[in-house]
Amino acid sequence: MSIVEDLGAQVRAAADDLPLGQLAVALERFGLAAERLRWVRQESADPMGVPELSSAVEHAETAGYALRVAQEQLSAYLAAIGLAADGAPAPRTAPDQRRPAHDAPRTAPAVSGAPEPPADAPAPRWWAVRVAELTGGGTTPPRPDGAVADSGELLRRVVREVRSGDRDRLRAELGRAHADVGLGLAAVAPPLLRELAGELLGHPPRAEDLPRLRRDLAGRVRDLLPGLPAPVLETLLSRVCRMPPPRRGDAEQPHAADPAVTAGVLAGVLLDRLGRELPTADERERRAADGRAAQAEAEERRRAAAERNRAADAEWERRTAAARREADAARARVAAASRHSAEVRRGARPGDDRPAASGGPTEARRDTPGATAAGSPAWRTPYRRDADG
Amino acid sequence: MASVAELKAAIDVALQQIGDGQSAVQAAGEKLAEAQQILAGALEGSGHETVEAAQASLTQASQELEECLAATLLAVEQAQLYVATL
Repeated sequence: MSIVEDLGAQVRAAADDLPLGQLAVALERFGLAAERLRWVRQESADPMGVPELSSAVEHAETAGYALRVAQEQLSAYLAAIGLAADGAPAPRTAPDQRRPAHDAPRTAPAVSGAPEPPADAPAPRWWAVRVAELTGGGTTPPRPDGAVADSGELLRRVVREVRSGDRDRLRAELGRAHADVGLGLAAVAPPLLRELAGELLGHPPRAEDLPRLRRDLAGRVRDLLPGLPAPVLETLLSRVCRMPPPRRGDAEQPHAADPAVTAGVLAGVLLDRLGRELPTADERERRAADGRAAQAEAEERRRAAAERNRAADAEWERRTAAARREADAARARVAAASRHSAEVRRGARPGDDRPAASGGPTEARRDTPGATAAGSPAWRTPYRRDADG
Repeated sequence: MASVAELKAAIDVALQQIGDGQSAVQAAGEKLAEAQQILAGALEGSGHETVEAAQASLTQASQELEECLAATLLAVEQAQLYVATL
């Protein structure tokens, strides 16, 4: 893995590990708590912390938005430095792509201009030689086969041979590919690996899943690729789990073919474990689109629910204020009635022998605005009705 | 008509849910700080504007999480005060 790939993997791992999941859990819990408190306070005029909880939800939502923005910005940065979304090298455009002359496809234009660095062309059919080393020896076709025109087709053939478990046929399929087609496996397989590993695990692969993936998959890969250096598979599995790859010195840099061959074989092993066929590009695109649509729908539902809760809060605040105003008015009426009763008592002639229960203050109270015929305090009725309602 | 015991029980459940949410926010804050540290190390020396923008977004997220936590503490205090008056 080159330095820039290492950097990309670190950035991608950090971006993927941003705590959107924890925030979703927090929002769900706060939502449940707010809902319960809203139900409770229908019985009471006390806010019970609901406005503060609404404020907390708003902060958490803003934090989630900021995290998603940061993820997009980091993806943009990775794209800007030439790395695809999963941290793998972005497919190079035709003019930029360096093709070894000895392994160039038949349709490739003749190499011209500056000569390739000697390190890139160590030997004829270096791709086939390395494939033979990885698969434990044997012979490989001396000439590339033009029938394997692209990396997707090569991946399909590799998956078929992995499923058959025949290492010789796997070597033959890989070895007859052009080097550029074979190297393309490193671009087409890794996104599929993460998706398939997620299906195997039942959730998107995380750091803690690395031992399980290693245990479930490494043995079969080593059976098919006995010549594979162990760090290559470890790096690939780490990237599937969005973990930084293990550090190693320059002397341990893998052969260029190793990550590509390993990615193709690992995809085949995963598909075999899942009993699935290699999905077509259309299927993968459709599945990704479905996932994005479901995520957008869930987000929209959550946003609408939050909006409804905020509207309910506002309505509750309005009704509470109205109830308080009515309660104040009722208290004022009671005070006025009390003052009026006192005045009536003061104005009553001494020696008046009429029973107080049937006249005097009672008669006056009946005439007082805000007093009921039954003598109960008039402020209770509107206050309770409004508070309950 | 609800009883005081029902009110207290309901508020207790809500407080428990707020507590769970607070734990999740705290875990998110710790994970975010870890990610910020990793990114600061990996992207040290970069002057790319998207890197600076991403780091600013992460700082904003961190502040929002802190304010979220502070708001939940106030909510809990309010609810507990209410329970004490029942």
